[in-house]
Amino acid sequence: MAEIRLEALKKDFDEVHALRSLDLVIRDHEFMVLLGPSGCGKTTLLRLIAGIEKPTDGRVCFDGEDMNGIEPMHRNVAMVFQNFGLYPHLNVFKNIAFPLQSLKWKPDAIEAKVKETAERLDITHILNRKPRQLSGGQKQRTALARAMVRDPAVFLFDEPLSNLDPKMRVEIRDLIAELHRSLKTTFVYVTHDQGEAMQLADRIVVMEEGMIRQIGTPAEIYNEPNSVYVAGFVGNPQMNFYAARMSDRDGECVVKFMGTEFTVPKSLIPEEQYRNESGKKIIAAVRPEDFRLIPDTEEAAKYHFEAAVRKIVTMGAGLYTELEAGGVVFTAVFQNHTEIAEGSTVTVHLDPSRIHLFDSESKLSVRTLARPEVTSDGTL
Amino acid sequence: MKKKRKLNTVRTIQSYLMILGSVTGLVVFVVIPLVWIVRFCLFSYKGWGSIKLVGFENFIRVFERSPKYWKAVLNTFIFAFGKLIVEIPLALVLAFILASRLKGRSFFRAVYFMPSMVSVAIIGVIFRYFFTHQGGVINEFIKLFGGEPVMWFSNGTTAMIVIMIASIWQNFGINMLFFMTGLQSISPDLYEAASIDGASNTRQFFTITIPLLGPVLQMVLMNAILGSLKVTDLVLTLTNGRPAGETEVMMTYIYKTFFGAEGMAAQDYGYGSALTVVTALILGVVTIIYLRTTKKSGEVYS
Repeated sequence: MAEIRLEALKKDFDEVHALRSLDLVIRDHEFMVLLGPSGCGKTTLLRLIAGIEKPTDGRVCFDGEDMNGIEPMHRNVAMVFQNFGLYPHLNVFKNIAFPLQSLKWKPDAIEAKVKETAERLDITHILNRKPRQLSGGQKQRTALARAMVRDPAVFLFDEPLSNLDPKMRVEIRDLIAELHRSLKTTFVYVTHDQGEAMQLADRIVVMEEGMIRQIGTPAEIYNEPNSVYVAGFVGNPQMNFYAARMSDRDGECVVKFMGTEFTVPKSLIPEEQYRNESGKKIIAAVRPEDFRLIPDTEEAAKYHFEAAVRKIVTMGAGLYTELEAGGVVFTAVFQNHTEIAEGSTVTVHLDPSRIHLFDSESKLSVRTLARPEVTSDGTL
Repeated sequence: MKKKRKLNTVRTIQSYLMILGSVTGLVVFVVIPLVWIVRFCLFSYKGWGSIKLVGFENFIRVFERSPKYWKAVLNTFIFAFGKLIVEIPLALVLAFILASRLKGRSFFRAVYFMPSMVSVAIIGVIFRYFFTHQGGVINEFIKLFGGEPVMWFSNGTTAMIVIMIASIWQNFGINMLFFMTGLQSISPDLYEAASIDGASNTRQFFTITIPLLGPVLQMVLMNAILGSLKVTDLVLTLTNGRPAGETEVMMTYIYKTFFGAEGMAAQDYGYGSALTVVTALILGVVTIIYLRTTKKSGEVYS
């Protein structure tokens, strides 16, 4: 049990700035996912929390206690690695027992604890095997057991699923989620897979180039991305972005793209953002699943527009389609079994409240532009 | 079908032609001398005069009337294991230091490896000068600090120590390189995992580094043991067995029996051959015992 507080944390590798002055609070018992592409500094951040790397500047605090200068072994953290990090010359039992031996537990206490942990992770039948005789899933279960065995205050995961095959990935992911529920400890989890992040996290930290872009619950990150970067990184298939033109019409904000004019609700854009800014360029974005297909029988209504179907891909639960309207190509996702054919023309509806607007220069959400900066708590 | 068979015949002939060179070499330089030596065990031949068949007389002489040879065997083992105790840990520790992110490590690596490139005879001469009683570098240093000069080569123990030092100096570099390669093959993740799992540096060294170096360690030790048991030229150039056979080793004794030397019984091919066979058996037994006892450490990854 621990609250992790990062204060102005900085890490340079020679000329490379891996982390640039980063503030973050990870609450006690929280499942925090660090999300970003490779090279964004998320793994470095995890290693700084573990104490494997030393910060160039700034502090890592556990429950208010400064951890600088404290070795990994005294931080009471456990880590699960991408390539498992099992000791190849030791069998599963000895791998799990390793941390307890470091703590100088008595042999019979070690045996009892290892057996108990192994039972919980369903690996009692492989305790005598060497890591090379295990499947990927068994290796990661062993690594989880080794992490759990001494009841650490913080669990750190460094892309634990990336070396597993898809089926095993789901199994271990659910196991990790289940462990978090039952262990009631702080989990910090690094991944570049936004789906994984959405499924596991209490809160997500989206990172880019050593900086935090947004902190929020999966719903917040998905529904209210604060920048073009976050909007584009989260969501599959990717969000559609359009160069749009914004105008102030009788106090209402009108955005034009795809040959259609949309009057956006005031909750999406503060008045001072569009007043007297008629004709200004803006980035409009729409999630592929926010388009609605209108049956031919339905009468024409506001925000209906025609689109040509260029391509259809069946992806199980949904149909991924490539549509074209007003000279713009965009992706839309419809339910499976939707009657639609390549080369035909369909009518599509878009609810203006589902439009995301970003400043074309700063690439930040016009909503957040009016508000103060992101605080370390992630509150806006 | 026929064509295929013909092609196979051509391939077979080609393959045999390709290994013909090395097989010839093997026969001429290994098999024939071996047969020659084993055959000579049963004869007495002084290098001149007649060759007499004496049966197992030469072997009886080796086991019953050769105290000098058995003294040399003992000396060889003292030398081999005495120097290994220093050489292997030294090479391992240096490899460990140089494998870390030390500045100028490629310089040190080159310097430590240099002795391995020098001819053994030259090493013998160098150390001879270093430890000479009159005007030797070591004794001059001892005098500088007010000590009594030591007559290194007049005493069996000190003479043996000099040989050991020379041999260690010659060999630790290459062993260090082997260890460095071994260390590089250990994933850094394991050390990170271990440091999070609460293992101190010492525990990491003994529970991760040493076991995972197992295969390399096994190979290096094997090499070093056999190499030291076969030591010849270093002893010949440094002490030539003096004083009074105190630093005589198996190989120098056999060499002298074969080719004759002052203070030895007359040159004798038959007796020398018997000594060679016995020595080969000793080395074989040591190798088998070694491989049996270290079987486990070679199997870390397999």
